[in-house]
Amino acid sequence: MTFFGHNFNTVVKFEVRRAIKKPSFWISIVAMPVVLAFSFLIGFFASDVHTDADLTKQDFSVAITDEGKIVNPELLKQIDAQVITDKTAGIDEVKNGEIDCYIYIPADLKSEKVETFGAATTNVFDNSRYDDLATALLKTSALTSTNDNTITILTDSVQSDSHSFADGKEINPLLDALIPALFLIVFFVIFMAFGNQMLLMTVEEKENHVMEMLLTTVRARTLILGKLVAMWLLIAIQLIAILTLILVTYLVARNYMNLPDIFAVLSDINMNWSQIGFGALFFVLSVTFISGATAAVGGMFQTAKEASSYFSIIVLLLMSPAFITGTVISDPSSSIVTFLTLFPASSPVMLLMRNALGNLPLNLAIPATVILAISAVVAIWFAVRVFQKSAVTGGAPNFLQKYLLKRGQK
Amino acid sequence: MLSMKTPDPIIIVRDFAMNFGDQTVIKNLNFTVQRGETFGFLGSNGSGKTTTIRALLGIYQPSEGELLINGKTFQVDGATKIGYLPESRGLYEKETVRDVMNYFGELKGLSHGEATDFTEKYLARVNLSEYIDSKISKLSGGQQQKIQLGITVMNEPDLLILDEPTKGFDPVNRRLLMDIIKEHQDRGATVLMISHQMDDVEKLCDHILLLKDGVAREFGTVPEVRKKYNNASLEDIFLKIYGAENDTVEGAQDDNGIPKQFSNDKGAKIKTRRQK
Repeated sequence: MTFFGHNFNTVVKFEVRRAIKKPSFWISIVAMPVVLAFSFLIGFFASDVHTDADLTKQDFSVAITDEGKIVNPELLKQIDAQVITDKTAGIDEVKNGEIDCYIYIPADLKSEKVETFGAATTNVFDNSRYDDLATALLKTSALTSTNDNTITILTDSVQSDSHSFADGKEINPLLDALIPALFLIVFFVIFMAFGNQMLLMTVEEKENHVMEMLLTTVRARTLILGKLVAMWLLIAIQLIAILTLILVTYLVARNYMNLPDIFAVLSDINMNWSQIGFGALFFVLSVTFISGATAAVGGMFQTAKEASSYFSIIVLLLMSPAFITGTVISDPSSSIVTFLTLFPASSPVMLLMRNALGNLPLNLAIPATVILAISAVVAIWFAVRVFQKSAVTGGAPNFLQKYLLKRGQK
Repeated sequence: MLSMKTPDPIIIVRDFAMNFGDQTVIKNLNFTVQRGETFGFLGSNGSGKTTTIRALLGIYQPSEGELLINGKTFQVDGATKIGYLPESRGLYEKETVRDVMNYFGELKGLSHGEATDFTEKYLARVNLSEYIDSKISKLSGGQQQKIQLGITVMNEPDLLILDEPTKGFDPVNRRLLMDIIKEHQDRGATVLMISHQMDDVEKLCDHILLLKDGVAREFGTVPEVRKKYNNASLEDIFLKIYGAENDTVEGAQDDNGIPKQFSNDKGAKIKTRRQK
């Protein structure tokens, strides 16, 4: 432990031990799955929102089998749809990548489902566009004729089923986005659970006037590094405990509550390893960056109260991508989305979000990763330095704090 | 050098100067503390005592000169067993007495078992056994002082540095403190003590140094210094040297012993040895 310094292990042990002795640590383990479930439900319902497609702006290739003769041929011409009679051939064309979408409309809409088969899109939310097109075709056509089918359409009683294909295999885009999305959700949860603790850990010794006594036994640098490492260990302990809790609860409850076989569901996930790998990388860098940045803010001030007002700036910057979620989904190449992907304080959430959505191009992911990695190292370095400076002098004698304090006093 | 006669100095302060911004707080300070003696480091508020201790312990980087413990600059490596009771004191308020004492014990090189053993015995001695699993914040100020004192001596230090040790102590705790200091003197520990309690200094100290405006004004054994002032008491000597100016010096520093006009919120550049 030469790099970390004398007594590093003792600091880590103390910080971990005292955290896990606190009831709040274990309460948050129980609370976290609830938050995860809530986030998942929100995501689920948000993804179920369909919008009416604008037939004039439809820009992908379509084939259709209309056994009920419901769709107006003029509309099919308008969207340049290929009419085919064999359902299997239509599905094969999608699988082979010859067309983007195949729509099967049965003869009787009351008893059978409309089915859509589409090539998977890079943006997970774009997969609903095939369903949206089918609905738009039916509704528009129904306005021009009247029969049992059109009544079913106009009363929104059409049942539909959609299928997505990638590389010839059927996939479930939402399910496949689950693991990359988990990195984002877990990051949020960690920040909620540990953000304040990260801030407090750097002001505690100063606030309690215990620092000077400590400094004859441990260097300030060792102390702050020990605290950061302890924090990361606590995060790991909490995640393992949460996963264990979820698994045990599921295994116990599944027979009583007739829960679906989660292992079968998970085995259906089409693992996109590069997406998962990037998600894991972004997650690690994001946690490192945010813990360093938060520790640096705490290091600059003498009390938690002083530090917390500046901590809210970090929270605001970090959460800024959430305010433009709509733009991230609908217009991922816009300047604001690109800027927030590259800007270190907002990039953790933006990178994790866009990676889960599947709209993060490699030529942006690489520079953003490099910027975030450099920022994480700088944040840790700055936190250590400012903590050393403020350890005895009671606050950071640096231009930033001077500037902020002077501004605050005006 | 003010004292070079004895052959085994544990502390050597040589040509030490300390500046905060443009202001010189310590000027060319030289003294030695011999192994096993009790050394009184005296002076009015703001004379530079705490600054000297901090520089000695590597918390501040001296502007000039060197401060040595056992012949080398102090390093946090556990090589020298030090017990330091700083002027600015506190403990982890949300933790229990047991956890805090064990933590400091382990930081000072004790095993977990040794730290626990010391904690139990010490708390029994100072009548605080029932509080072993209480949070520090539940203890009174005097009880917390006892805990701090226990932490200071729990590794049987070779060198005890006490910055105003009786500050805030009631007479009972003061007696306890004096007894503990005496025990450590008897076992051969060196004690460097900053104090304004001149009667304690007269009783405990072998040598004293009086610092004024960062300059050593008097140095010697207690009888030697008193003799220079016609056998006046140390308190009278203190008043004669510092006089009314003591009032003006008081409050001129912040909580960290740094002159207010140079304290960090005004942008002083304070170097610490540990900023590597």
